[in-house]
Amino acid sequence: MEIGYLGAFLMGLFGALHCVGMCGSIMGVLTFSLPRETRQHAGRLLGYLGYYNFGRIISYCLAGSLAGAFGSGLLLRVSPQYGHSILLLFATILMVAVGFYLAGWFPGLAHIERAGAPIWRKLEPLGRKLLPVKSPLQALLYGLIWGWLPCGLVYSALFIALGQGSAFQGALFMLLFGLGTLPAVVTTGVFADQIMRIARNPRMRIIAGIALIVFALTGLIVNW
Amino acid sequence: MNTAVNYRMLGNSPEFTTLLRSLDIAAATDVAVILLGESGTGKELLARQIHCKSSRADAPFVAINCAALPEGLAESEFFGHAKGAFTGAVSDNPGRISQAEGGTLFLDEVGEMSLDIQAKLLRFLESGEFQPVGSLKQRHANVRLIAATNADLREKVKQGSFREDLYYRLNIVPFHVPPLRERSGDVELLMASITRDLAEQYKLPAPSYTKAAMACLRSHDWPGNVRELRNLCERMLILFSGREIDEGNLPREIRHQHRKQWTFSLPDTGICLEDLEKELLQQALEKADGNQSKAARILGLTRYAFMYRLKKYQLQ
Repeated sequence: MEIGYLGAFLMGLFGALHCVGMCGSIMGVLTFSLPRETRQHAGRLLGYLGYYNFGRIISYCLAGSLAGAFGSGLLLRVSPQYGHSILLLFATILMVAVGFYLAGWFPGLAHIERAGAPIWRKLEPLGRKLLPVKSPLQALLYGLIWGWLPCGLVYSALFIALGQGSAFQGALFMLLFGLGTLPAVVTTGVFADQIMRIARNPRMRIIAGIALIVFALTGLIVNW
Repeated sequence: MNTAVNYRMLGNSPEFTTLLRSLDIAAATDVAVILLGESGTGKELLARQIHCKSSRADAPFVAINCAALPEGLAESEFFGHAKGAFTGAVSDNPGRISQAEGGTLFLDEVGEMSLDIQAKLLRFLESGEFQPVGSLKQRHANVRLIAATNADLREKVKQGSFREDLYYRLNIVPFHVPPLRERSGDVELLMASITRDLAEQYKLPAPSYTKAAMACLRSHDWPGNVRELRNLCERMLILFSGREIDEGNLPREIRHQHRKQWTFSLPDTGICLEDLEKELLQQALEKADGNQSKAARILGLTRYAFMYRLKKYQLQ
């Protein structure tokens, strides 16, 4: 584990500010499509929001464990001696790229989300069958599908999870990343207007991007 | 009014495909959404797509352009009227909301509604009930609402021209439709597809674009968005059908924006730079009433540089 779990959390936290345009609207749709009596009961509403996001983060962990397992196998084959250094460099470059993406200086990174479009085409019809959500199980299942929604930021995190050394560490990395996305995604469902305003502020995005770049480069220097 | 038709939205950029995926999720629910975006970005087509992919697809899709409704007729247009309610009401009119029963009501330019209509619409959104003009009966309608605007509704609320309660009622799930200039790679895709469709419609051979022309189009700002692009494709097809279009064949506003916003426009016939410089020096002297320091300042030159030029052109 070179780019630490704190890095994963920060990537999710800052990155969600950028992705709030999509995930925030989806969270809004999922929140307001719940039955009125559920929405009017704060405890019940919070429970449903939890199920949606729990499902989403489980999917991230599953993808992270696959990436971690694949990456560790690759590492042993390619170069057991220098593999970790190569992956550290690779992960740093990716995190810096995400920083540039968040700041709005490298919009091209979003194109990597195309990689997940074929999976989403298969999963999306299943998700539609679960809507509108009427039970906690449906919310959890919908969250599981939502986790595979193509997203440049999630895929960048998965690339970094490749170098975490094992399936468990890959899953843990994605768990922390998912937890980092929670504050923005959950609150956007309720405070869409205010969060959107913050997210669309270019200055905020530049600050988030620079913070991530500084963090990635510090991690490289410390771990090299 | 339209029933289900498959509306294909063109776009391959992450900015646009992301929106389409989110709208697909919204379509599977019955939540009221608002589409925010510049004019010409395709908000109505997106609303139709939501309708077509929703469980209401077999019911009507009724679009109302709130900016185009005459003040006096807006209420009757929305909620209908009873026969004899006002001069000219010779028969019952069910109104657009009733026409949308079971389907989707699309309110375009929602920020342009009068305050009076806003109050009535809010009541309908909250209770599903409304009262046709000149009728004592309350009526009920089950419609899904999709609103769209290119205005800053929050600003309108501050100015007092839009009701705050209606703003919060409509702004539950906002979707931002990206302008064409922010959709990376979509200009080429749309140009090719729209040109092909128009060529088929007009039965003309489609023109092709040189690399330079395409580069110029890519860097254009497209203030009119897809609507502007479509108009350009139509114009180019009619003028250059079957031929190759170079940068020079593109409309002036696109070519000029591509290059730079020049302070002076160089005429196509060309100029003599020395003559122009002499003329500018003379004009500056005239404006400064012969005061050379002041004339130098007008041209952004030091007094020494100004004097040097006067001497060079023997203008003293």
